[in-house]
Amino acid sequence: MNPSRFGLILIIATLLIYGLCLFLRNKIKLLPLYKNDSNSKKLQLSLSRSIEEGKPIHLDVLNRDESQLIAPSALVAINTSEQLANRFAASDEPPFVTNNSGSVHALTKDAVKMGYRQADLENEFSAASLDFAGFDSLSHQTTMLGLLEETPYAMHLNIGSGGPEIALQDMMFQNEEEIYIAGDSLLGQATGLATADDVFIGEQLYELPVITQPERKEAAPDVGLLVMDILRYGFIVALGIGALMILLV
Amino acid sequence: MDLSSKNKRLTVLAGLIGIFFLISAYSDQPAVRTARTMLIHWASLVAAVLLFIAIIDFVIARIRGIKDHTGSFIYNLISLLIFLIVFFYGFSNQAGASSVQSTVFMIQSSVESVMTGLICLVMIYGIYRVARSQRSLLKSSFLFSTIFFLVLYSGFFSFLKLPAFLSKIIDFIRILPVGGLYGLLIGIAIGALVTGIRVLFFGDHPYQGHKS
Repeated sequence: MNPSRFGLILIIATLLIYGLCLFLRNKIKLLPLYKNDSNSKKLQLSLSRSIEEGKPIHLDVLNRDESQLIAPSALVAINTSEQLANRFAASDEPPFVTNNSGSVHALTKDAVKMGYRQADLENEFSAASLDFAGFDSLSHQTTMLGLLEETPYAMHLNIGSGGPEIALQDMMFQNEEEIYIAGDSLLGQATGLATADDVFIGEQLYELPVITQPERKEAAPDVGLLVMDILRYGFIVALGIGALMILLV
Repeated sequence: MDLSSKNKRLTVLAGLIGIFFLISAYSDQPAVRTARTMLIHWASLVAAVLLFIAIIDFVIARIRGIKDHTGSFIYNLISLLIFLIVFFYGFSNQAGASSVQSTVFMIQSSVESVMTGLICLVMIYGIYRVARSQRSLLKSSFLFSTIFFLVLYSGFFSFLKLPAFLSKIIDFIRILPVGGLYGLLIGIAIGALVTGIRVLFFGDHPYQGHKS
């Protein structure tokens, strides 16, 4: 069965809005909403502190499962791994990246290498800073916890489709180690609210590659996030009009 | 051909295949559908090869860990030994491959059962900790709404003889989590849509060659 025509219209409309924002980015002062989030400020502060104190950070890239090649949330995580590698390239301790899928493992390795290359420190890249840690959700968490057992990390950033098994990290890590969760799984987000230090809820997940960028890169607003803001308000207006029509008809 | 131009060509090719894949979902032409199915098969094969490489990487990392004394020695040793036992036993005993597989899955499922129990305990402790923490408004409201909706959905209010207007208010509150759920899902879907378009139309590529 073909997907609905509405989906195609939405894709074309998003593409047009994206093109328009790209074109107008330097002509009109567009205000991104994501910069005022309290949790993004907290994450940036933690990242800066990790670099200053020379403590390593851990990033977990979680793909949904092997049946889905790469989930959009995993793409966000891969982009974030590139930004973090770039940001930590010159620091004492490189970020340690784990993942749960073959395709994500290959792309993450490339993204981390790219991060080092952008910082002109490609020679600093070490294959030991990346590890594939099992693909089933629970197996992945147990394998990953075994890998991280002996090193205290400043923070653990879990991005992707993590479910309730993320709660195990709260039991394993020391109190000083901060846990951040960002994903598209509703169960994972709910678990994170009870067990993690901070949770990036819903579409906040897609802000992470921009939030984790080295500060010098933050001059221009991210077009993708601007488009997300525009679409969000478009949906709110459409839903409002729909609700009014239901009331009036 | 230099590396950057080669990468640009690969990027354009990948983008075109992606656009074809998107458009083919709206086509009823048998030839287009066949091509689409063929692409899915190829992608699955590539994913299988990448998974095999990832497993090799995992084993190499364990050997490196033992050699360089990095990470937990016990963990690295046990992981490596179990991998080798399963690998060699599985290959040497082809006739009993299904029994090897079922044994491995049995061990895995028992470990997973223990882990699920642990998750339950950790979450109870997490809720206790959130209850004690007064710093986060979001977490406190999450906790209170969890308690409130647990009581609401338990049917507790159906035993009480409430005035009609109060019942209407409770019925309205009952649908609030559904609204919240839709809000979250719409937000995630918008993000996925924009991320997909960025990747498809050459804005963002998580492999070598993008961004000069």
